[in-house]
Amino acid sequence: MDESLGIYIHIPFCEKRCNYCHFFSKILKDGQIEKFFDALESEIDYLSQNNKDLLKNSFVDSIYFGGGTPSLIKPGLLKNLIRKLKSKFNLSDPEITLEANPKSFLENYKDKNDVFFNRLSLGIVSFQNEELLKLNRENFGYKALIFSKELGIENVNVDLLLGIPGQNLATLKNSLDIVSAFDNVKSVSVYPLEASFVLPDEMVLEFMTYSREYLSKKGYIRYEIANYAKDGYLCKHNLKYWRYMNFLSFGPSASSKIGNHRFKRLSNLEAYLNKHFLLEEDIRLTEKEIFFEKIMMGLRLMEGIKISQLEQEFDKKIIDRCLSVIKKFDELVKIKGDVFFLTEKGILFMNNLLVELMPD
Amino acid sequence: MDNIRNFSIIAHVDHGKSTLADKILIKSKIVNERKLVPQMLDNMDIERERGITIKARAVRLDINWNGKDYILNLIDTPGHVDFSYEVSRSLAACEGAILLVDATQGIEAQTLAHGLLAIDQNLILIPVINKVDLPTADVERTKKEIIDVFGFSEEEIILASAKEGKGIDEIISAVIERIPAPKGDIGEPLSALIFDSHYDSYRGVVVYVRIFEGEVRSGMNIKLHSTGRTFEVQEVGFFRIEPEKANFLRAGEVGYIAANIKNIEDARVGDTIEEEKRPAKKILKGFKPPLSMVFCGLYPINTDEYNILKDAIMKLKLNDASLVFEPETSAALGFGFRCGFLGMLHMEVTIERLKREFGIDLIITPPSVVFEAVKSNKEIVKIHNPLKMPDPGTIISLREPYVKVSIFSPSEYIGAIMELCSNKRGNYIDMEYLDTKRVIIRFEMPLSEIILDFFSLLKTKTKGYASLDYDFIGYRESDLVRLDILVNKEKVDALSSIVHRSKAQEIGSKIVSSLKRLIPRHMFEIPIQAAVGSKILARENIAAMKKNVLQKCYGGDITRKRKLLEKQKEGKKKMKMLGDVQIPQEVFFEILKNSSTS
Repeated sequence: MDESLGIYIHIPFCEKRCNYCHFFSKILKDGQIEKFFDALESEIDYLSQNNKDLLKNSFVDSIYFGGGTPSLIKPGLLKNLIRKLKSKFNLSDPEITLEANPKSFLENYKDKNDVFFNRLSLGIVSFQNEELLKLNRENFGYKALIFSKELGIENVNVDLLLGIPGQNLATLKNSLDIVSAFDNVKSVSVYPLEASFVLPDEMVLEFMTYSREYLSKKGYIRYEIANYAKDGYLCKHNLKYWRYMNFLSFGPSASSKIGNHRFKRLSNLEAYLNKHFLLEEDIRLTEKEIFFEKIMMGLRLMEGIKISQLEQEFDKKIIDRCLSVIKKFDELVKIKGDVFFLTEKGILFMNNLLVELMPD
Repeated sequence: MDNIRNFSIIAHVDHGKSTLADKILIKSKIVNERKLVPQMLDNMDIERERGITIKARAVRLDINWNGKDYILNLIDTPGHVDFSYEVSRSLAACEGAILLVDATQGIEAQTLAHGLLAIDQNLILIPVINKVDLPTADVERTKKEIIDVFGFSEEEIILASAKEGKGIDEIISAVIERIPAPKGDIGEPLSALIFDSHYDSYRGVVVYVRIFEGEVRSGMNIKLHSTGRTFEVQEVGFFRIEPEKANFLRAGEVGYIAANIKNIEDARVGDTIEEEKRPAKKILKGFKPPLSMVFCGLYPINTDEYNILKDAIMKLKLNDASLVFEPETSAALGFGFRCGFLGMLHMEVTIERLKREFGIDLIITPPSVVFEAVKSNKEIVKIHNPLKMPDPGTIISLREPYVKVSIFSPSEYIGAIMELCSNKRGNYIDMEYLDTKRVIIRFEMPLSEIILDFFSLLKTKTKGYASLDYDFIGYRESDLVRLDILVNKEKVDALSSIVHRSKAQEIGSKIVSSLKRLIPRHMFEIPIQAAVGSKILARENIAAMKKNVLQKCYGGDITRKRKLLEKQKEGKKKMKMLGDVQIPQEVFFEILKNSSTS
């Protein structure tokens, strides 16, 4: 019982698709939800059957409902699912995150009894009608935040996007003003929009700098390239990805990583609903690959990567090669004592650095 | 000897030469249609794809005509301007030639040039108009052109459609009736003309010859006149579709000699072969060592592949006496070779073969002609590489090669051609009307202007109707400067070129702007400059990239992230690092082309 494990559950349904989203999701049709939850329970049985040792030796301290749009689902079903997980895994006071779309959250959640989670991540994107219109979204962010207060939810994360056509420093400030006015918003994610119609890089950069400075004044500390949190409110689950720890995932297109084994469920809803638990990816990683992926994920964190920790796990040659590249790119990455981490410039040009660090 | 006919086919690219050759082959006893690969005379895939015959080949055909057996030796000739010397040697091996003209196109520049060459050498020409059955054929006009230009009578012209097999019998009949049998004396000392060769890993260099006097047989000791080197003949024979051994080759015949010649440079096209002990009475005229007109640097992208490139060039060299090369180093590109070619087509075909047959990723530096520097002590130095241009203080003058260009075109494009040629520093010589609609315009022009993009510009400006032939006429003094290109303040030696002073500004600006377009953005701003000496003529900046990071982490989907990075890495592999700047490989070759067409 000494290793922690994160659990991710992918809810592959949306009311409508957003034009910039790359995640696997389908428009919800009648009758699919029951079938899907039935399949999910079977997958939980199937995976726990196949990973008995893992289950015995680890404790689950984070559960994350992502999507798609998990808030489309009535809370009762998700509560049942947690009960199911409890029967199979050692749950250890887990952080439970619900990813929510403001509109469906307001529709499907009624009172405090519905709150089975302890962290709510609201995909608000923006508070400006014109900007949301460009993304074919509706403006329910403010209402959802007020409702979260009413429900007594104490740990809320808000997602905002940068680079939406029509966005400017004034509208961005307005969005940040609203977010930071809610004392239960403990963390904020600020992602540049990835779409063909995004504003030019120069503007996006200006927005990024502005957001960082604004949030830092309000006590939100940047702990990852795009994530800011108040002290003690770092997302436990996401840290598992970035610190390259183990996570087991359920649902179509969901990726898992256990030790050197990475696998991904087929991105096909029909197959999944019919309980064909096929994989579209099933990789046993080499030492070099694990090393690279660990660096690729770990550099995203401002805390950086501990050299002494790498030394416990990896061959000296692999580490030396990495360090020699890092020394060459001293503008992008700094070594301070036992730790190396990205500089401000390094945050902007992380890909250039990673390409150099890739194994051949 | 009475029953031998040695002939070749003179035609412009695409006028149907290979198809006609195939049809004549079918009439002989050695091939039937089922065995025939279309265009059998073209041996290499690249030739077949490009529809041009690069290396001459000779085929011996046995034909029974009106009850009598004949031997027809068909000597194929290259159709491109780069190989006009090889054409002249092939023609020298013949008594006659078929002059093949496409009825939809009329006479083209090379057809005229080669036709006149044949007349100079007293060959009998048989005019044939091909593709007469095509709807766009203009037989009457083509006839008139042939009559006006070459002075044939209408009755001499044969109408044919090689593709349909029409006119083939008439052509064979004309070859037999009109072309004289070769003359020569078997008893005289051996005198044989080399008109081609190829390398065979078992027999060494196999030399293609036309015997003019005497005979050659295996065991004989022969001497190559220009080098004085001697060899013992191992085998003689002739080509049907495959080589066929014979006891001897005699005056009038065409065939091959294998004599353990290891180096193809010893078997030079145009040279005379004689018997060591009995020197030839008549050395054959017209021998010229191959003249490299165009040079460029070839570098492997992956520096580990230097030795593979070296082996590959040497293998091509075995079969190509006109390919010259020597090792070269570039600060920008590392180790490579400076290679010399007869012309642009020769260069392009060679490069294509290196890439295709040997799988080498190459960087090709901009092609350059050979300049000459006259030093203060009157010594003349050849400059094969712009970087080797001597310090201006140590030289009296610089010279560049000039060519006489003949352009055939419909008369409506005269203005456009005149303008193009003057832009390319051409000096007008004269103009001649072939008929009311077609003209031939002649210019003297620096070769350096032609090798860049002249041909494609000419095609564009004349909607593809003009054709071109040129001849080297000598070196002329010229006001030349070396144009250097600086990327991120560092001179890129592989991009230096020698240009006329009046063009330096224009070419410099265009190179700089195409580099701006071709080099991707970096983390830092990159200045690009063109300079002559310390004087900057043009400058552009490539603005710095603002960011390059995958902001959104797709949950646990690490593979997606890795794939995006791998794509970026693949792209980077195809780049050449110059200092801190990544330059796409095609930049080096495309830069000058783009510079004058944009």
